[in-house]
Parts: sequence; C-alpha cells; structure tokens
Amino acid sequence: MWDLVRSVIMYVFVLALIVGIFKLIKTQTKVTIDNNDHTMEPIYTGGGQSIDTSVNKVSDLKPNDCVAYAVPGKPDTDRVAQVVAIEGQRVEVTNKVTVDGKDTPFTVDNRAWTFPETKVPCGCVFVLAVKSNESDDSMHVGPIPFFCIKGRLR
Amino acid sequence: MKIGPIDVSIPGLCYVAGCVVGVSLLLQMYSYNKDTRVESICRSFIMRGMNDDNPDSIVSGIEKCKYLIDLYPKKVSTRLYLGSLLLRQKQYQDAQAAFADVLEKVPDATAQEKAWALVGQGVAVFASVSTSSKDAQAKAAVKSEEFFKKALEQENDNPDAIVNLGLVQLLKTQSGNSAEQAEKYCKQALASSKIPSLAGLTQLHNLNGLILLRQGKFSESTFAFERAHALQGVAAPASAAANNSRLARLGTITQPGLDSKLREELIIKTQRETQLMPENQRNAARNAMGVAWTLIKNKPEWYETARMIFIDAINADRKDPQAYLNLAELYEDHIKLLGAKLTVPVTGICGGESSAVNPWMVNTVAVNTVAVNRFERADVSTLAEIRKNLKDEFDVWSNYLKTVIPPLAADRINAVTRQLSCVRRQFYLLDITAESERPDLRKRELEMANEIIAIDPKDPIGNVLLGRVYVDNQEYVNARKAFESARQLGKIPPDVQTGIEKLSVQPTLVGQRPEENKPWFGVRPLIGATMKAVLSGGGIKEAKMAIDGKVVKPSIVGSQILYFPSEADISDGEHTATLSATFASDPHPIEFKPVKFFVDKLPPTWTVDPENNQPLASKAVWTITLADRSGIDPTSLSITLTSGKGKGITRNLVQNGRYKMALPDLGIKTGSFVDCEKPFKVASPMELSAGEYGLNIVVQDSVGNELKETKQYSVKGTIKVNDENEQK
Repeated sequence: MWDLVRSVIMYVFVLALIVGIFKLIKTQTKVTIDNNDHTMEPIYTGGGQSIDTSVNKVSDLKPNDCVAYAVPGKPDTDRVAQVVAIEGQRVEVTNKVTVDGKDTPFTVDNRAWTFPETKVPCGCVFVLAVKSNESDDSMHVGPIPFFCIKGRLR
Repeated sequence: MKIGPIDVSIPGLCYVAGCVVGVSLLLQMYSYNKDTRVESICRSFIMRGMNDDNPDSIVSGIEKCKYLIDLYPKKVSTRLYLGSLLLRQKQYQDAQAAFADVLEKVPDATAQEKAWALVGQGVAVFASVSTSSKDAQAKAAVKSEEFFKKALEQENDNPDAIVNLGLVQLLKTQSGNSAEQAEKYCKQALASSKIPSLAGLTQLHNLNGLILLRQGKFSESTFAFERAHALQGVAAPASAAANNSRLARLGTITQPGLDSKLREELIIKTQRETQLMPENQRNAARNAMGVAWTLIKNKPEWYETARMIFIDAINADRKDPQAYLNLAELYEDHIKLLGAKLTVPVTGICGGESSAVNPWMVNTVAVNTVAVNRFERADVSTLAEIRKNLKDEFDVWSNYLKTVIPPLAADRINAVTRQLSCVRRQFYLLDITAESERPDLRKRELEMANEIIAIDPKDPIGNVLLGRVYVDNQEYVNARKAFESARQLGKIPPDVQTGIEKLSVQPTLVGQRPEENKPWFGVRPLIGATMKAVLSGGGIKEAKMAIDGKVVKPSIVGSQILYFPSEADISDGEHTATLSATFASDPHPIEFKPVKFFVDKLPPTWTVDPENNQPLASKAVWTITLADRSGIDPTSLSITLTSGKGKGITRNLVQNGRYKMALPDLGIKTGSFVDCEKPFKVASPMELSAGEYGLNIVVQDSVGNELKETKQYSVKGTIKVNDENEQK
C-alpha cells in the first residue's frame, strides 16, 4: 500500500514538474499568431512562433529583425513584422521606403499609402509587414512603442 | 535494506535523493530568479495597462507598479510607469505625486529620469484642467511651465520638456510674444539631436502645425499635422492630429498659388477622408473642396464639379450658410468668365457688377440698351448661360434667406443686395424682344431696395441702393432724396457723395443762341438754350418762349430748348426773346434773362467811284465802299471786270477777299487782303481797249445775305489785252 502511495506521489510530482517546466518555457518564449494572419507570409505563417525575449531595449533591435508585438490599443492581438528603423532614424514611405534618406529593400504593397518623413520617436521602432495593407504595422498604427514588443522571432 | 518499518531499496533511495536534489535545485533557481520573475510577471500587467484602454487593465497595471515599488523602492522606471498609468487613468493628482516621488524618494535617479518625472508632473498639472475654462488652463499652463523648466535644468536639451514648453506658451496667453516663444521652442525641439518620446514627437508636430497655421503656411502646416497623425497611426482617424491634419488640408487646398496637380491630389485625399471626419467638419470639407475646384480653372470640369459639391453641401446641411455663400460666389465667378467671352461688352457683366456703379454711366447705357438690340449673334448662347447663372444665384440667395435665416442684419442685407445685383444685371441683359419684362424687373429692384431699408432702417446702404435704383429709373429727384437720407444715416460711398452733389446742382443756362456778342441772324434764326444739370431737376418738364412778346412753341431735346421759326414769322430788324423752363423737381419755372437779337435780311450795299455808266480812262481805278448792319464777310468778296456786253473776257480783280493780281501803281501785291471795313481801290491791271466793261461784285454779309451786282462803264482807245489769268 505504502509503495503504491509513494509511487503515485512520485509520479504526480514528476509529471507536475515536467508540465510546469513546459508551461514556463511556453509562456516565456512563444507567441501565438492568428492562423488567419497572412501578413508575413511566406516568411512566417500563423500559429505558435518562438521568440527571443532577451531583447531588453530598443537598441537591441536592428533593421530586418522580425519582431512579435502586441498591437498598440489591441493588447490581445499579436503581430509579427520586420523592423525597418529604430528610434532616432528618419523614415519615410512613398513609393519606396527610405531610412535616413537612403533607399531600403522594404516595400509597401499599397503604393497609394504614404508615411510622411519623420523621426522614429524615442523608445519606438518602425515596423512593416510583408503585406502591409492587411497588417497592423507602423503604416497603420504608427511607430510601435518598445513596451509592446514581445521579442525577436527566432 | 530495512530501516525500521520502511524497507529501503538502494535504487529507490537514489531515486528519492535525485528528486530531493532536483527539487532543491528548482527551489534555488526559483529563489534566485525571484526578482526577475516577479518583474517579468508584473511587467506584462504594466505593459498591458499602458497599451489597453480597458480600465481594469490600467488598474491591474497600477497595482503591479505599486507592488513593485514596495519591493524595489529605488527602481525609477516603475515609478515613471506608475505615473504614466495614473495619467491614463486620469488620476492627475496621484500621477503628479507618483512623478514627484521619483525626485523625493530616489535621489540617485539619473538626470534624464528626473527630467522625465518633471515633464510628467507638468503634464499632469495641465491635464487636470484640460476641460476647464481658458483662464484655468492659462493658470495651469504657467504652473506646468515651471516643471518643464526644471526638467530642462536637469537635462538641458530634454526634447519632451522643450516641446511642452512650446505648447504651454500657446496656452498661457494669446499674446504675440507667447507665440514667438512657442515658435522658438518648437524650432529648438526640431533641431535637437535628442529624440522625443512618441507623445512628445506627436505634440511637437502638432505644435509646429499650429504655428505654421497661424503664419498662414497651410501647406507646410498640413504636412506637420500629417506627421503627427501618422505617428498616432492612421488607424486612429478621430484623433486630434487627424482632425488638425484634415483641417489644415482644407486650408491648404484653398490656398492660392498652390500647384494645380498637388491641389487636385489633396482634394482627392480630402474627398476620401470626408466620411471619416466628424459630422460638423464634413461640410467644411465639402466647402473647401468646392472652393479648391474653383482654383483649378484649367480643368474643364471645374465649374460643374464645384457646383455639384456646393449643392451637396447645401443638401447635407441646409442651414450651412457657407455653402450658400460659396455657391453664389461660384456663379459670380462663372458669370465673370462668361462675360470675358462676349465679343461685345455688356454693362454690368463685363468687369462684373460693381458695388459702386457710376450712376451717370449707368443711366447713359441703360437708355441706350432700351433702344438698341445690341447683342451679337455669337454671344447669344453665352448670354443665355449668364442669364441662367443670374437666376440661379438669385434663387440661392432666396433659399439662403428662407432656410438659413441669418441672424445678423448685415448678412440679410448682403443677401438681398446680391439679389438686387442679379436683377439689375438681368435688366441689362434683356433683349429688345423682352421689353415687357423691364417694368417688372424695375419694380422688383425697388422692392428689394426697400426691403434692405426695412431690415435695418439705420443702415445707409439701403438708401444708397434705393437711390441707385432710382437713378436707373431716371427718377433723379427720388434718387437725390434717397442719397440724402443715406448721408444723414452715416457714411456713404464716395461716388454717392459725388452723385448727391451733381443731383443737387440747380439747372443753369450754359449756352444760348443768339450769343451776346453775335446778335445778328439771317432770315431764319435758330433760337435756343442749352441747359446744364437738367437731370438733377428731373429733366425739363416744360419750356416757354416768346419772341417780341409773341409766344412760340420751342422743342425740348435733352438739355436743349430750340426754336426755329419760319422765314415769314420773323421780320428784319431788332427782336427780343424770353425763355422760362419748368423742371420736374420744381413747379416754379426758372426765368432766363431776355435776349436781344437782330435779323438781317438785307444784303450789303456798295458804292463805287466813278459811278455807274461813267466813261473810263484806259487805265481805270475804282474806289469801292461796302456797308452792312451785321458786317461784311470779307472772304466772300469777289470782284471781276468783264469786257463787252454779254459774253466777253472776264478778269478776276479780287477773289475770296484777296487781290488776284498786283497793282504796282496802287502799291498792292498779289494775294494781299482787301480791307472791307474801309473804302478800297481796285484797278484794271493794264490799259483797257475801247469798249464796254462791266464791274461785277459778289459779297455776303456776316449772316449770309448776298450782294451780286454789276456796274457798266465805257473806254475809248485801242490797246490789246493779253493776260494769262483771263478767264472766259
């Protein structure tokens, strides 16, 4: 009897430990993107995405990084997009995307949409999705404050 | 192995030991990462509070901040987040206290952190009165300014502090000095190498937009507001920056001198965003777009597009006065352009309907228009379009008066004045085939002028317009009365002042016939008087004339009174004419000074020495004396010498008052004038052969009576006459 109790306690404990560790790992390093979100295809599709949460400040990010972020004003909506410019850089979107006056390889699918030339504010990044027209990237919601950034996609 | 009642196996013991080690390791890790883990857990709540408008999320964020502050009182960022969350919760006093705690409780905070806390305090102070009166805002702005200045003391180029300092300058007072200060701070922040926060940069662009807007730089202002709008995200269409951006764009699209292409692009952009605008701004947008289209006249569709937009604006808000005013102005604009197309200028259309029409010119042209069908065939369609525009504009003003019911008398007066202007121009455009419409139009003009007087009897403009209508109608006495009334009420236009002076002049005689220094007449004298300022007297109503007491019936032609008697009615000799005239404005006739004149029906007389039928020496010399009451016309004098009776040789001695040939014996040169006032001599230029001669004279007096007579002479002896000037 004692053996049985002991074994059960042991198994429950180990199981709880394993689940807890997995749970911890999951909450710390994964974001879930709506499966209907195709804005970063073909680079990323919807579903769970691993992220690097070791990003502690804006300067830890650099152009071309893909980040997961909570959309400003919509904290339950996670999105992914590419960093185009970080704080202090001048960004402008016309029929091309320029950073500090230099052309970049980034593009905006809706060519009629523009973003006037302005500095990216302190503590913010300017992000663009592949399909900007369908996204909640900086063309829609402006520069993303750093506190909305969840991490860099692995 | 058995320990007491427990049977312990070695593998089981190892297993338990492993578990204990693992748990202790986990507990150690848990303990080691406690700070990070707590922060991590709290951070997610705080970030959510910062990002979520849900009050519960904000409350959770605040609680977590407070929890963290209790755990780590020296951590500045938590206190700054707490302040920011309290600002989001609109707990401004608590927010101010939270920011103040950074300075009081964390003396080790960096200068930048202290500066942020002070900026936060300033913002909290001002935000607490953001919905209060302007005075309260101004006071709060002064208080906030102190915090922002302190922030600059901590970090001398903190961009958020500079931007907020600029903003409070605008809010503090409305003085020009404050505006200059605001502009200075704005420039300083724009030039700063440090980057403001998202809110700070948005405010900076808003501030820049406001300053540029004040300076009338609509285009640049639009771009500044658009920057602010973009920073907030275009997904926030109802934001203040978005509204500012749209409003500035409305100013931009109506800015003169803007590139047509850019203007059109901005119009399209505005059109697209009209539905996103607050209801109260949509008509402003429609009006601005309409006005903007009127500035793109190189596009053929400008007029119709603008017209449709203004009509849309009226339909969307039938009480929007600006839409009516814009539509009316559009018609005016179009009429002006159509007027420029006319091949023959038309009064009131070419050059537009002036508010200061010269009444004399108007009258002259108006009289002419009645009599002449002056419109060119090529202009018929253009004129028809102008007429339609005038009627449409009249209707716009009518609807404006009925629907908007402008509260200000000045606006109502303006509307009726514009209606009056439309009717006046319709009058000018009436063709001869539409003569019957003239009385009706004149009647409407009078009604409208009286309506203006009724709206505000103390405003001189009503009487000024009434006077002008009377001038149009050639009712000069009434016009003068209306103008006088206007003058008594207040200031009047200079042309009306001139008009009163002209209309007040008493009619006077400026010319008469006969003139005093020319009293002589021929057989049919034209007796007349020319008057000045007859219009001011309402025109000559009646004229009475008498010659030698006998009443005659003169004719009245404009400002002239004329009498042309038959030859039998007036005899040779001295006469006296009297004249009196009665004007429409005054029943008392004006008597003019009697005029003496002479009628000379007799030709001049002449005497010749030697007398008629006397024998002549072969070298003949005649002395001639001319006489007439009215005087001799010397240029009519002609004297010839004819040889033989009937057909003979004729020599011109004097022609047109000049000697035809030289008479050396008498000291007379060829071409010299004959002095008719005195006896003068003529002579045959050579020896006359024997025979009969006739001396012929033709001369007129000053009134045209002619003397034509011949005197006969005879000569003895024979001398051949050979004269190149002889005529047959």
